[in-house]
Amino acid sequence: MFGHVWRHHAPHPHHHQPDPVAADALAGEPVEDFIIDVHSHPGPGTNFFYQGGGVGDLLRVMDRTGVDYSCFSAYTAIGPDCVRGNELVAGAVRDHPTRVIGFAVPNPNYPELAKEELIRRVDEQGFRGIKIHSTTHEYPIHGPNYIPVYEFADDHRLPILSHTYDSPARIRQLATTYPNARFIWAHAIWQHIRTPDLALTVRDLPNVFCEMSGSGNRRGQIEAFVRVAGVESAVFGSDYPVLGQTWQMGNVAHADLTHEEKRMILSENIRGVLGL
Amino acid sequence: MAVTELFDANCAVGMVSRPGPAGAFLTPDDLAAHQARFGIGRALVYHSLALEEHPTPGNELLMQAIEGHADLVPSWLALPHHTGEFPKPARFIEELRSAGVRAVRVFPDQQRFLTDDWVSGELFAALAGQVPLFWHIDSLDTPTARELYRVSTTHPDLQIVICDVDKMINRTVTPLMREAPNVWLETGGYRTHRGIEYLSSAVGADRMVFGTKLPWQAVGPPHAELMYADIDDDARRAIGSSNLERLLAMAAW
Repeated sequence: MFGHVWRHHAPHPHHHQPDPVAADALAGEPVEDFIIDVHSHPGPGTNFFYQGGGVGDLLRVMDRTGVDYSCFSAYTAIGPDCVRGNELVAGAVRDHPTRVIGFAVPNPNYPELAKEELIRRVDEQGFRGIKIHSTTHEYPIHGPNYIPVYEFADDHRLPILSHTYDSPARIRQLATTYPNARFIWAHAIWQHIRTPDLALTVRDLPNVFCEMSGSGNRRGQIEAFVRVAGVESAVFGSDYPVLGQTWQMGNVAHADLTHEEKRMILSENIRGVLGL
Repeated sequence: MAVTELFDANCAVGMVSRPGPAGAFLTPDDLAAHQARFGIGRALVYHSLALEEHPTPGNELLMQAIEGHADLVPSWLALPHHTGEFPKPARFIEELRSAGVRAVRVFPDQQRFLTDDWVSGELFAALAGQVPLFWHIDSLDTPTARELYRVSTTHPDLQIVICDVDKMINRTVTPLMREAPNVWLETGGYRTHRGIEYLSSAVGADRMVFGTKLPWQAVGPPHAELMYADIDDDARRAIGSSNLERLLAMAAW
């Protein structure tokens, strides 16, 4: 681990002892606990450049961080072509069934394709979740073209990873209307600072989870969310490769939480939902 | 994986208006104790009041706050002098030299001044060849990128460290750093997937410096980004500490 310490003043009175997750991350070693990244997207970036970004690249990064499974939805599916993108993910699921979990993307602007895509991907190809991106698709999450998607998720007890959550009231409405679906609201934990009602809302909804990735990495934001919503409501996601999976691992690993709380966020809260 | 002791290029001590849930570091000991958790043994620090109140009292408060803390290296904020609120560049250089301060920071976006020659040209000319400049940005948008290119090529002896970057910078920062060998990058906000690996390969690991942006940002993410990067230990050590040591050694005093 670290060699000599350069500081010469007295140790802090509450000297910090890293738990196993923090210790692994400190050393840049793979975290040993079982880890599921609920939010990743293979594909090149259109609006900015990052090195890698493909399926093989993500598997390599997962090996470095210690992530066991990543939930995939393709950029191309969120962007121009949901069929082509979902097909890319189907290939990754076929090739790497012990590392990749497919999330199918329906584009509400093509409602005639949505049901067909979900049946094909979930019933025939083993996808275990749905990804919606109402921001990119410029379609409200409560719009009528999403109703068949929510009904499908409710019937199949599937998780829906949504980039947008609209409002805490909308979260409650959807969660109670479709109680067998599981809603994972991406980037919602760092939004907690702007929308405190979010944590108050989700703490009473057992089929709602908030995911932690985001560009706002205020010190203590995960801990603040957990204090209000309960650790059961938080899940780990990276938004790879828009954001570094390594970056987000550092966010959880070094949070002022117990080892057990980190284990819950890193996998245990969502493991059963994904059938793992 | 070998681990290097770290030298934080971007952190502040003192109260801040919006510290986030975990608060700010009111004393150097609090800052040091938190950084020690991550193997950060030294820090190039500024005072939060230099940013959020005014550079002149903030720089003075910094020197009082860190007195006796050899592991905290002072950096001062600068403003253009035209309004009379800040010393003229020649005098500012003398004050830096007299105080032994070997790093200057500017926040043009937050402190609302232009970096055009008619506003900041005298300041940049005075700093060139004398002391490195840490240029904090809100974003690497088009005007900021063009100004960084213009200033860095106009003043090739001015070492410029771009601070507080975000993730969408590679298409700009790659040619910028290739064109201008005096441009460096502070990694505290560089959350681009495999960014440190990429830039080490595309430009070289010798012009990145590790930073945290404490107290506003958590240390864990930028720390993990460096520690998990697939680079050799020499490169990790360079980014983690020795590049900043080398940069500060370029000061004329």
